Amino acid sequence: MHPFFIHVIFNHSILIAAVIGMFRFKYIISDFYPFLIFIWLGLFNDSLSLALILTHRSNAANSNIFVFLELAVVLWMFFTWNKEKLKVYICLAIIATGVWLADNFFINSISENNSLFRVFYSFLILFISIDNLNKLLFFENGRLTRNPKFIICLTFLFYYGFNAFIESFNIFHLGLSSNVLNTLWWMLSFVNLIANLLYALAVLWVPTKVKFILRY
Amino acid sequence: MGADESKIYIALLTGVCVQFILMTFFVVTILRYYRKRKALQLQKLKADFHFLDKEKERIAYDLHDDVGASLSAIKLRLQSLPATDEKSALVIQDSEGLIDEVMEKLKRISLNMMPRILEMLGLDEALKDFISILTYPTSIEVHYECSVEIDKDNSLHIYRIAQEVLHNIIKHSQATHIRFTITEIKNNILLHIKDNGIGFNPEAAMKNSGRGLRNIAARVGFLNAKLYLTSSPGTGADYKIEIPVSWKK
Repeated sequence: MHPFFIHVIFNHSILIAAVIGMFRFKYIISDFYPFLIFIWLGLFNDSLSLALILTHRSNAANSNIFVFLELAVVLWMFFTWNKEKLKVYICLAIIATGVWLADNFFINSISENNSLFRVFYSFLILFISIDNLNKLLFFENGRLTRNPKFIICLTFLFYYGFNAFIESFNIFHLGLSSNVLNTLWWMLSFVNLIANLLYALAVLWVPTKVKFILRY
Repeated sequence: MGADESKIYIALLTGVCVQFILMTFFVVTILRYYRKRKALQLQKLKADFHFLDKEKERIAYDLHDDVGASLSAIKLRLQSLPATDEKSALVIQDSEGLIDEVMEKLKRISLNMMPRILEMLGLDEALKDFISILTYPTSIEVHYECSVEIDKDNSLHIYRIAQEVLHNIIKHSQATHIRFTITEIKNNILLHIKDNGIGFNPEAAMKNSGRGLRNIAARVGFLNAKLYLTSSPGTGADYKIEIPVSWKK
């Protein structure tokens, strides 16, 4: 099989989580709606990028917009989990918007693959995930391994940690050979596959709404 | 150094810095949530103790005021009964004796639950009273000294700790002598209780015992104090409880 299609399959493995999410949407608690939107948004962008590449057009602009929307949804998700931190999330959203505008309109062009915002948002998600993981470690009473919040935060650590690492190479322009870059992209694709499978697991374990039963 | 090489060094240095920041953030958030959890636990403990003490107070007052008053009324009615013969006079006398005994027991239970004297005269007097009642039927000698004044809210916790320790000693230690002092040392209030009993293994006691030691540990934790318990079979027991001076009046 052509390596490009393996990349496509790896990236589209998000479809598993998206389909499970579609079936479970009606039954799960509203805390995880942003997470489902995050998954569907990812699937939409991957499909759009594939369509653009297949028609020999650049997927840079939509990817640049996607990462911004992705961060907005992630911030919304973390806010629904930590409603007491509204001001913090508003500040982070304002700063992120500033960085995105600077990266895509002042420093670089939106039609290029820009790494500054990608590195910034990866670190931002890393920090918030660490904070939420520690909170779960101290305050969650149930089994953490079956806790969707724990799995999502852990996956974010894993995926965005690696993403920041890869995107940093673009910022520093280290002049790496195409072989090395190719290996790095393969690794990112593989990490993406693992992350997508973990997202599917998280969607499966999202708790359902509790039915209110009036007993007579 | 070539331009590419310096870029690699900058990238490495940035990577190390980022790693350091991430680790620091990780540790800081862990500590922050640890403190939050500890504060919540303390708050819960405080609420539990408050509820427990209020409930004890209510039961103690009910026992003393309701049941005690009823027993006194029964005794009065018994006394008003005409003793028709020697046998009935003896039964009335026995019954009065039994009522006195029950009233004495009731007084002890009520005092154990909530000493009114603690509210009225303070910790020192309450402890003296408690010791005299606790050791009354036994031959245990208690040497008690208190040279510190402690505020009303926290004196109840200190009283409960002392109560629990002394109860443990009387119940299990077979001691003949107890030394109990409350002093102030190095910005701490030191509760020192030592007996010459049979001693025990503190670790095993903590694992196997009922609520006694656990209650002591919980109250000690609530006061942000430190408990040092030294004991081994045959050597008696030595309880040292260091309470930070902020709890003092």
